[in-house]
Amino acid sequence: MLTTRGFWFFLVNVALLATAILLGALQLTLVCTTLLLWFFGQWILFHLRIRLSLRRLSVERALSTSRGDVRSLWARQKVDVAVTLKSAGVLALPYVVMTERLPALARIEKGLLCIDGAVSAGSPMTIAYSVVCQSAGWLRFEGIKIQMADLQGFFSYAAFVHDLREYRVLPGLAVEASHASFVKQHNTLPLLGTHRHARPGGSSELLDLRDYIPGDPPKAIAWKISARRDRLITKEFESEVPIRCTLFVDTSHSVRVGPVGETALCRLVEIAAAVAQTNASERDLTGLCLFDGTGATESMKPGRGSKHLLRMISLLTDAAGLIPYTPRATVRDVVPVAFGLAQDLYPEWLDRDVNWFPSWLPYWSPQPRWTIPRDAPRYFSRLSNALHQEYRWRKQLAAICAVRYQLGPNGLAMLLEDDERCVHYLQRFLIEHQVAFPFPLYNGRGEYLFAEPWKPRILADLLLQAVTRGKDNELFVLCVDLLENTEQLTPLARTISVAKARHHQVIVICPWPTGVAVPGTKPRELGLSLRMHSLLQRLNAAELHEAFAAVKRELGRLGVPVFCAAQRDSVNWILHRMRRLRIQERGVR
Amino acid sequence: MSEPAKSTLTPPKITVRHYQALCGLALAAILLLLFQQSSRSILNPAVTTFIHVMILLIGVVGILYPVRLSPMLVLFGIAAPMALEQFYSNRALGPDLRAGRILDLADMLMCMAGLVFFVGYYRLHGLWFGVLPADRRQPSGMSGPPKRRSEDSLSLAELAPLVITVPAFALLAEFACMVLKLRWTVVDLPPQWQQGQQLLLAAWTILLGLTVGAQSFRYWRRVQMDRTTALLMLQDVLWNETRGEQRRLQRWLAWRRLREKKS
Repeated sequence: MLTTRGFWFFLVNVALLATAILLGALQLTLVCTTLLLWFFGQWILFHLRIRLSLRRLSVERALSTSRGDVRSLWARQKVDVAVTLKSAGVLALPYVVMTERLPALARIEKGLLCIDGAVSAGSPMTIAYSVVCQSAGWLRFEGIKIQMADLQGFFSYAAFVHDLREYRVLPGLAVEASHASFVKQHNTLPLLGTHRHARPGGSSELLDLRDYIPGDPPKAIAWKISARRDRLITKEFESEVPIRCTLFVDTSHSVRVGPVGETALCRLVEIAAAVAQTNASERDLTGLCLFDGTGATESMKPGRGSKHLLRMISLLTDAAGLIPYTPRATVRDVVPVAFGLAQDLYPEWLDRDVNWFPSWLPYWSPQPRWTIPRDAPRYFSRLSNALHQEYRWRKQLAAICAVRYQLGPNGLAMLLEDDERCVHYLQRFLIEHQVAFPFPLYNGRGEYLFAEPWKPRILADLLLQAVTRGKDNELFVLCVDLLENTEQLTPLARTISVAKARHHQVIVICPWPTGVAVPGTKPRELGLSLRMHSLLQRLNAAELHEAFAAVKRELGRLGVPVFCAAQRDSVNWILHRMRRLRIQERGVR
Repeated sequence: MSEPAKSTLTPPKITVRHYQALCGLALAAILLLLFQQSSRSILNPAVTTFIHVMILLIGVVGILYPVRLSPMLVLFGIAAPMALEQFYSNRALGPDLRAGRILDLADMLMCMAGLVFFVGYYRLHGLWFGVLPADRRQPSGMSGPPKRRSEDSLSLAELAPLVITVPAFALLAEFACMVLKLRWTVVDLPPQWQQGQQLLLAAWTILLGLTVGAQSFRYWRRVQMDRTTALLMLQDVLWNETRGEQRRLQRWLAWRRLREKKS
């Protein structure tokens, strides 16, 4: 509340007043008393303003495009946001700094996120800016941060006006020139959405002639040939079946790692959405299977129609907004991020009056040994300021989590003592607010923390189910991170062989981290620097390239093309495969 | 038909210059009053002149250029001649606050000019250095200056209340001094320590005022709390009361979990 400026003003005035009284200097006493009385007056007025106005503040938010107000957005679409802070309080707030908390998914294009001025019942405060969302997901506006102060800067108060609004950001429309839809060139070709299938069916194209079997419809009898051969011959026609494409999208934690909106999963979702939209425009059937390290999380049978497409896109949107979670994170990694979030969003919950941390506690009862990180000083840890701060943050966050997740009266103590649970609830707290924090990807022994060796087997099972249920000549697009599982590809390769044997097509799309050169391109020059960071970057890139080559080699033997998700033409490759399925020559599978 | 013109009643804008002018006027008034009083001062005229020139210099520099310490320096500058004069006169007569005059016009003007000067001065500081404190979460060396108050947020409406509040506070101070001048006995002290009684009275008044005010606002805030914050507070009370027992229980449980995990 009291700022440094206010503190010094008060202290100097009190000191001068004491001197004036001791000396008996009336005029100085009067001057100091006037200043002190005015200071107290300001203090009381400031409190009155806060107490009478804070609960009566409200936020209004409107998102609009050139077509008017919107409830959901498209990725890469420019959206104008207008946020208004209104007060219904009796007293005006003389100085308020209003700061918009920009969602992690949005990137600001124009305008400012901060404004200052006075707020009263008649004069609201408005921030207007434009944002663009780079990828699909959820745009979550928590509210606005306000900092109030008197005009002299003696007192200040920070609060957050909560106004939770969530907007769905749909994947960008796949209307690129390269994704041009298939055009039916001749009337002999089947209708859009179907392809010839060399099995007896009900189309108009002749497939074969055979002897008449009692029960065959008379209209199927080839009379001329029957007369020529002197026995009844029946015509068999081709069947026309729709082309099916099933997308398997990996949503495991390894593809969620990275800044919100820039994860590998976002790119996979973008590819899947582009394929789904293009297929829908050609009336082809598209199915979807979202899976992670535990199995299939969502699945949709191949279908067509606008409802089907919208449901598929909404599932993909939800998947794109997923935040990684790892039980291997440490308290030391998570606590600073979670505390920063709590400071921003819930400053009133960190107040000394409601969430107090005794300053003597680290000396009297320090944290247990197992909660002290390995690299921290173990001896004299009671005297380490950094550990005291960490302990305070942890206690305050544990209190918030215990109340928020209703952990009962022992919840606070449990989170203080149990690292695993503390990390779990803190990550949950962060995930709920769409905050991704920089996870360590490798542990001290160089092991990848997100490796899931059982993932190829899970995918193989799901693919086998799809093959079992599938018809003929289907396309299975596997958008899956296999780069850390090159040793465990055998079950997947076996299932792919089954699929190929049933004349299906399979394509594998490997997610690729941002900033690493795409396979097949010249790696980015990092100079001759021998710095550890650049060396690690090179090593990491080389390892990824090697893993990608291994996956490509392993699956290439089965005739499965493997593409990198970062390549711009990965969507084109999938569509090209679809086209090949569509225009297959008669009798050729 | 043309649309009726919308009536927008926005208060006229002011700029930094207005505050500088206000501070300049207040400083001039203070200096004039100090000069007037120095004619009957027992101090060496050269000393008083030097102090007045210093106040003028510091004040003017502080008004024209952003200097963080200038308000405190000006306050010390104003206090210095008054304190020095009283100090030397006390040698002859002894300190006695009750000897002073009450509701003197010069004193009232000095109080008002001083208040206007400091109000304007600190508002200028808000425009130059920022009103809000810097964000302490930034690591040292990266915090940068706190956000300055924008000139767009200035309006005449913030100057208008000064017309009433400044004389009101000056009168209140006169009243407070009148109360202070009465003979008070807070503790038994020798008669020559009468000033100590007044100091104790002032100290107690300030302390009591602060405590009562702070506790009242604290109570008000608790009354206004939402459910979650109130739960948080109750949980905190419980934790503070049973912290040792809870810690012991949970530490054993965590230890058992770790042991089971290892085995």
